[in-house]
Amino acid sequence: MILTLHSLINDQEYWDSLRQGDKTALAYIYRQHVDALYSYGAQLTRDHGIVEDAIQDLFIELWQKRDSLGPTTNIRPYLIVSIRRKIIRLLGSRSNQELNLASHKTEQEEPAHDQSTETARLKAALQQLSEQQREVLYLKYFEGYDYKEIAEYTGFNHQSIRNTASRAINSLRKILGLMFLSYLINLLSTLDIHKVLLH
Amino acid sequence: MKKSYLDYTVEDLAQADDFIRWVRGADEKLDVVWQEWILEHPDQQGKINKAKEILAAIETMSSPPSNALKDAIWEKIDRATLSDTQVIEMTKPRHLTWRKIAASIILPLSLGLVIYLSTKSSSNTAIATTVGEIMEHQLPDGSTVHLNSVSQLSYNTKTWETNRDISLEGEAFFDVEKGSKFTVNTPMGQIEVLGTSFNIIARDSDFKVACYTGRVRVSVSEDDIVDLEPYQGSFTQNEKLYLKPLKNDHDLAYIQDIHHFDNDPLSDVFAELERQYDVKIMLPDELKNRSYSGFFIGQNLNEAIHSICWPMRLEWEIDGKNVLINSPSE
Repeated sequence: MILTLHSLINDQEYWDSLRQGDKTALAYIYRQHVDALYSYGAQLTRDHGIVEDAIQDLFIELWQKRDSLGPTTNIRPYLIVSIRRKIIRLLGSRSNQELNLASHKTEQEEPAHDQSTETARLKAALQQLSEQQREVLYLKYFEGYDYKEIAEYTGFNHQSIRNTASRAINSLRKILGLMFLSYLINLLSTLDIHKVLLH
Repeated sequence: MKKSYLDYTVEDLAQADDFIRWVRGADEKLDVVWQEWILEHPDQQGKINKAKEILAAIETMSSPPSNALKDAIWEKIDRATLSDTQVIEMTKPRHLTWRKIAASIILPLSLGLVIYLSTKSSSNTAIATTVGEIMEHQLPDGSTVHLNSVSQLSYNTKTWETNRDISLEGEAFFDVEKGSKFTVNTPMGQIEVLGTSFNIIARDSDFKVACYTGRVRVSVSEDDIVDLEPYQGSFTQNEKLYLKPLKNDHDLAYIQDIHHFDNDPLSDVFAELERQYDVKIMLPDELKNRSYSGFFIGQNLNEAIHSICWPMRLEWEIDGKNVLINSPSE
């Protein structure tokens, strides 16, 4: 219990300093949360340029609106909800201007050379899920929110979040199973070829 | 453990908190419980493996930005929020290539800010680094300073040309251009130099100065003064100054994010770790004075703790922002 209390006090102190116009506090909050915000944003869109823009807007706005910010004991949910809103708005305005979308730089997926084929296989499985499924999984497994909290932050109802999570996990299981199966079939067929060649 | 896990489907298991915590290795007690459960129910192994694979796939969702990207986004935020702030807050870009591109933008900007500040009532420039940040700053005369984490310095831009006077708390490395007298004031003492490069630690009761080129005069009082030649250092004990030869450039390595220690007490080593990673380290009293020689490298808390604890045969436990250090139990 002491542990969570400690991080809460820290969060609250920095938030209060930010409200009083301490730029160091803004930098601190950015460093504390940018990894999570970026990772979360990357579930909502594959266009990482949009995620970057949203993070930038969010923190500039935090600074500009610092006088009117309310007190909070826990910064993360506030940031999560805000970044979500920003990304959805940016996605909306971008899709109306397809030219912009095409010219907007997207960060290339990291080269797979340093990833084991196993990791590549698992990553590929996830890419087949919908954005909403990935979002719910991310909030549950990385942020540790329960389905009730996720419902509150995303505005969907509790039951539909629960269903989305179950469907996502069910699809993952199927995709992973199929991938394993096709891997086995490939393996067998190469073995067959060897047999044929040997004869 | 609940019996009902027998009735769980693979999907149920992958969503169960106890199962997730066990797979992530967050809890050693859970490990014993689950291992026993599997021994009792060997037929459940297949189910567990499938659920584990689902969790492994989910783990790959994490895609934090690179340090260069984080710095680049922050620079944009910083620039957009500069106009109404008096405390300059910049993070040192960790990648040289990026820095070269950005240098042409940042330099005129920071000059602009200095002018802005000097025309306003306050002509004081203050720079502060937070936990985990190391910053490079250029002084008005072209001298540079590297500010280690959780440190601050300030100077008067108006009087800078006639009086190169800086206040420092924390740790900083200076590379000073030749010119008029250059003085660094710390709560513990004063350092006076002509063109030279030197490192200062002025934290709590720790006051260490290392001279690399040129000549440095360190004083803690009117009659306690030492002159440092290149590769000489000074430290204080009971508020008196002492000289010591420097072995190498280790003290400076933090500029490259490498943190070296040479027979330093563990309490100092972990204090540096706390500043670099924003964690709270709980170290039993009996370990505080054990001395450690070695180094840790920035970026990864786990590896840093490992490189300190492993050679000293200490056990550690990371729980969010808290790290518990322990002597191994017999």
